[in-house]
Amino acid sequence: MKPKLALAVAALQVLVLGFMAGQREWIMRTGTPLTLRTAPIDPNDPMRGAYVRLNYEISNIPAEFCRGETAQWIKPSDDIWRSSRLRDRVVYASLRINEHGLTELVALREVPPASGPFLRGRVVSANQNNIQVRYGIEALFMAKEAAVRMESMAIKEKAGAPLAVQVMVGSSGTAVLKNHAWEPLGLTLVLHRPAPAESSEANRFRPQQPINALTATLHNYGDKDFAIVDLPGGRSFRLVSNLLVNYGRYVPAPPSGAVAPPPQAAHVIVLKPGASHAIQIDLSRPDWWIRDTSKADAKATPLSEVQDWTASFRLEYIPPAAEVVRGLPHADLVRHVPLRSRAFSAMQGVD
Amino acid sequence: MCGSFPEVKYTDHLRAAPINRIAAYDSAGLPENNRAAYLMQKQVRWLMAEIDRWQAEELISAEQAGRLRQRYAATGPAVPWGLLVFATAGAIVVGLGVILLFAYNWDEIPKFGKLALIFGAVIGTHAAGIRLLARDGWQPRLGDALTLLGTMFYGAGIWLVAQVYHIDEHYPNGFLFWALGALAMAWAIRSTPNGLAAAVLITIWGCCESFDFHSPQYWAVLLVAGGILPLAWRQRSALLLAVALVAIQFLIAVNANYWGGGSHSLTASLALGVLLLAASRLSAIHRPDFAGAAAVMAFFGWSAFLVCAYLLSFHEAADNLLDWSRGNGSERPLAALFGWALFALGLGAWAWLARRALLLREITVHPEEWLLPIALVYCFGLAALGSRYWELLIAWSFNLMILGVAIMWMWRGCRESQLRPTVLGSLLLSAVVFARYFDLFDSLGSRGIAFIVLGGIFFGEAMYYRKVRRETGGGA
Repeated sequence: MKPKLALAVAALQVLVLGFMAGQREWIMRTGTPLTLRTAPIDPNDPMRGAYVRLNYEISNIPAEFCRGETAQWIKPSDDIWRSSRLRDRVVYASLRINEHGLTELVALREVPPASGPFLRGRVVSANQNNIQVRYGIEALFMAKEAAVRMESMAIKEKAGAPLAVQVMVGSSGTAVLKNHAWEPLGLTLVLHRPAPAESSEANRFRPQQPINALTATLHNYGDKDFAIVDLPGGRSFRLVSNLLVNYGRYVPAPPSGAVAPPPQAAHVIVLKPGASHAIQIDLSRPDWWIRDTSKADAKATPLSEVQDWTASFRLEYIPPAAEVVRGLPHADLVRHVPLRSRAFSAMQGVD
Repeated sequence: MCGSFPEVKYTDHLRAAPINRIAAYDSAGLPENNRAAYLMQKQVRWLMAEIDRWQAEELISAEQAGRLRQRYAATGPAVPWGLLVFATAGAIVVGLGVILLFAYNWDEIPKFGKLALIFGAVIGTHAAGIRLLARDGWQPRLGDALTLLGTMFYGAGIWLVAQVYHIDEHYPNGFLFWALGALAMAWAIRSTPNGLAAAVLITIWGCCESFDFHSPQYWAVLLVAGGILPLAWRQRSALLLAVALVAIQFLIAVNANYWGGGSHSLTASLALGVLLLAASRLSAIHRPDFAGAAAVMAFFGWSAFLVCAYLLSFHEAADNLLDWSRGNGSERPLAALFGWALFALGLGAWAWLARRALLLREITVHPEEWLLPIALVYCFGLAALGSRYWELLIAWSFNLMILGVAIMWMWRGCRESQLRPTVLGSLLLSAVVFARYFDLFDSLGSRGIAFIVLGGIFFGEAMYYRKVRRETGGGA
């Protein structure tokens, strides 16, 4: 036994741990801060304990964002092992910080972008519609009780509110999760379907009818007053295709020239902490119609006529910009950050 | 009193081993000098206990007892094996406990407090372990256990840092880095416990990559083969060798299955088994000082062969398991490369044995052992050609092979009055008859006759075994 060699190996083990911790600590102190939106779920790891699994908006990347070699990965192929082979390939997500301070995906490439913030990730799976990417920041480790409580909050006390996660990004695209906080505004949905014409016994084994209306509720989960803008007919909202399920086949098709009217004083509603405001939306109106892009001559139709469970959408609350509400009462309380609901399908319910 | 002891009997055993090494093989393929060493230790332990008794009964004086102990205790100082075994087991359990304790994620301990704890634990245990390793007597063994504890803390540290910084990277890498740390320490201090930890961790890493990420790593096999086997050899550690061989066999079977399907997994496992049996014979001849190696390799060689042969004795399995073209793995060329490399090594080793046994007449190879290279060539040929529609031929041939091995073991066990080959042969024969009970004999009448014949063979075996034992003076 050579004591010097043994000491060198022991020192090497300590160095490995030191490098792991030091690299992350360095990024936390010197990296570029980014804020990502996510939704938490709660699994458990036998080696690292309880954690909250974070599903970022930029984790599932639709085909339209894939550039360079990654665009080839999503093309149809007979190679059944392609997804396996692509697994764990390093990719780089180019990002931009929008006017609300949130991070948005610009493109996914197999090489780092020349400029702008980016995250280094690894492919989890790839098919012809999207690439799922893991950035190494998908786990928020915490005590078991706290993890369970966070999951419970996502369903109850903070339902519909995104979890904003602050990460610090190093020059190589390595990200370190630094902070997390619930956003103060939440959006929940209740879907409505036409009442069945026949007896309930006859309808028992029939598929449920597509939705024809919904109730969107905005919740103030914060500790301060917030103002929201509720334009008539639910015009403060819009439908957004859920590309991960309908792959861009169904798109919103409001009448051309339809523009939301400017907000007036009566449309600004102050939400006290803990207060909610429900808005009824009639989806049979042309503003909410959709179109099937897979059919060349398809016309816009109401959601209630779409018998396809992949017709999946999100409802997005789009508050007016600060200059639009300037001069209106409580304009300073208006929160200008857009907010998306969980995905819902015309034939099924809310995810 | 001293003169009445057969003072050189056990040392003669050891000295004789290299001279008689060519024939030093028992009927089950295990080397005799291993048993000799075991018997010697047992005799010395008995003698030491007797000396204590004689001294207590005042048959010999304290001085005479001391001289006797000195004379027969030349095998080295008594090692407190109980302490060392429990210390090693304790190191593993404490290490796992620390991992789980940190996994609880104590909110009360600040980030740098947790890091200081784990860094301190790694440094402290390694420092204490290395200090003890430099001492004499049994303390280096305790030092070995402490360095294992340090390596366990190092592993705990990897997961703790990941937890503290919310790192959710490719998690098998955690096991890989842990394994590399253990392997480096094992080589630095020639430590069997650290080597065992490395072998287990490399296997876990390889399995996580295969099962969780469908990304089998041939590096896992190469790391065990290149990193652990030489250490086991150098340390003359049969236990480490056994664990390394289990790891290699398991990783090859799992990886080959992912790369090329079940048929590649079976042929690669068979080739490894055939290679191991040849290696065990070569080891017994050329390395008599590491008798445990031959025994371990013979055990795993025969096990791999018998498991493969038993699977192929079922015609439903034979239909699928010997046709590479039906494999649906992701890296078939890699599977073929591993399989053919093992095939070439195995066949080469057997060719060398054949030369020594058939041309030079230096060693004896039992007839049933020749079945292994024959089965290897047979299986690889069929798998390469594609064995569709030949399943009955394959099943019959492997039934006959297993029967041949069973009968040869039983016969030689009885003839040489050795219980182990007799029992193993009988168990093997029973296994074949029970397997065929379900798929070969159609009627209850045929099944009944098969069991009557099996019972008759056992009766005959028992009578013959008893007769030989009486003739050789071994009692009934």
